[in-house]
Amino acid sequence: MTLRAQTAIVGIGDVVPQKGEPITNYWGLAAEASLRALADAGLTIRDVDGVVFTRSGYPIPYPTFPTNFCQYMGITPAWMETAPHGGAQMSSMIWRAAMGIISGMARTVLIVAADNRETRLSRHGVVNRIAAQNTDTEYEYPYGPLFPSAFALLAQRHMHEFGTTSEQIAAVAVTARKWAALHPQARMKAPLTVQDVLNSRMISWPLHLLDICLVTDGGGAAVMVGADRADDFPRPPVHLLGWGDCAESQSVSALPDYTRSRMLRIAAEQALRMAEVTVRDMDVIFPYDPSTFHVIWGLEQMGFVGPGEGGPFVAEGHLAPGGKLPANTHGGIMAYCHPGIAGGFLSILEAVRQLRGEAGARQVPDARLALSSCMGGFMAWGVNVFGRL
Amino acid sequence: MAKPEYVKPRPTISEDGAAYWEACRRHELQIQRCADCGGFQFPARVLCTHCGSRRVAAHRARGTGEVYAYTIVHRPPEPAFAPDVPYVVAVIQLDEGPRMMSNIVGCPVEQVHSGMQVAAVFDDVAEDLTLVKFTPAAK
Repeated sequence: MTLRAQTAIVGIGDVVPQKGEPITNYWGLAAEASLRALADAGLTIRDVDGVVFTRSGYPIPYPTFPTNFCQYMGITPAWMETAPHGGAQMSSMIWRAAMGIISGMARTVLIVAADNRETRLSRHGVVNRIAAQNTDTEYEYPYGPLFPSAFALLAQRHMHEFGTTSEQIAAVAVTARKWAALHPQARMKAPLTVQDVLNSRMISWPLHLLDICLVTDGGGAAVMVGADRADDFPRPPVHLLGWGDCAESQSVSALPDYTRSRMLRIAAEQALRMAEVTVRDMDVIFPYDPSTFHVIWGLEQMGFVGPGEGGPFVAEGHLAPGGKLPANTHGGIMAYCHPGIAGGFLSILEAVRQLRGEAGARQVPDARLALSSCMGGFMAWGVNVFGRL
Repeated sequence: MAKPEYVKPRPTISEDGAAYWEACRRHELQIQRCADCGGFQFPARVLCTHCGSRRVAAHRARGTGEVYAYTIVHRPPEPAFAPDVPYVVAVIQLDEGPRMMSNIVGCPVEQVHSGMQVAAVFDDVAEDLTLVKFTPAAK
């Protein structure tokens, strides 16, 4: 039995606040994203019989399990799931929903991820808390790394092994703004030059402030059903063709090889094999971008380019509008929106928009295959391949 | 003269890690060696991650190694680190094989590079806490 194309996303919705629009109601945010996705699918909350809900990554002073979400929404589904911290959270929400449907335990699954970390904690508070939570508190944090220090370590090693330059890394941020300029809701639409990035405040060498993703509020939701019902809804269905998931270590000092790791490569191979396609077949991609460097690294790990080729590939503009491998066409979590846990999920929703032909000025012509990668915890990756059949 | 109080984050010491931290106070860098396959590992666990054996034992490392990767922190994660900025956070590959995170001290930050030979030094930051750090060393 193949898992390929057994399920499809038939509704999407997101909440992307602009600067100066703080979201103070966490449950309200999750509910609003849900209502938008349900409306997009022509459904109401009463139609939902399965839920995948992932809680905030930051402390909230009340329980935020799927059960709490269901109570808030007033539903009693027979099947609930959540993506664990430490796993490739957002990508895994997609396959968890699919497994619920394929197993027969649910028919109409609402997938939700939201966070108002910017309002609750401020960027300063978020950055400090991430360092304390995601770094090994016994063997790493006493030495004073920031959370981006882990990305910086990978970037430095890559520069050492391949001669990747800060300019090539900065080109990822420049590219993200080119796409964000085409999205009415992107948080950071102003163009950047490579020099702007290199002039921005140094955070953890070689990464500058503008090499590092946003901290915002926001949330997203999607509705997934079985392939047998995919054509019964107002919007064109986007099928889940394949997925993969792999963890390699939890802390950066335990990762065996910084430039040729296994986790993202294995996750991508699994997803592509299930989808029966190769990287060369992708029309648009959504490589997770918590830092500029991650995009270069991700292209290589997944096999879009060879080892060490990622820097020049990005610097040559291939990921930008008009390029041969359009990537993160909403601006990514670098420039669109990044509520933390939910950031990768918003990138998945943009993949769905691209495949539906709803991406407006950002539309990649005749996009039929999309790949997304998400990082969870610290060192776990998941990949999804979506398609218009 | 009394040491100023140590205000940086202390390690949350695990049951597996307790012996390592005690060895640090004796100025020993302790890793583990497997009695079955001879493999080295850090940090300490109840099983050998090379072969799965339970027969792992404490092993005194030479304290020498090289920098695998490093970064220079310019924005401190907490105010307690602010006086040290800019400082190096590095992942050191010990000669025995395992890697660990630490700070490189005793040289300008610009001098640090992948492959740089280093040797362990012990920083008695508090009465009851010693951190292993690394300085440049000749091979």
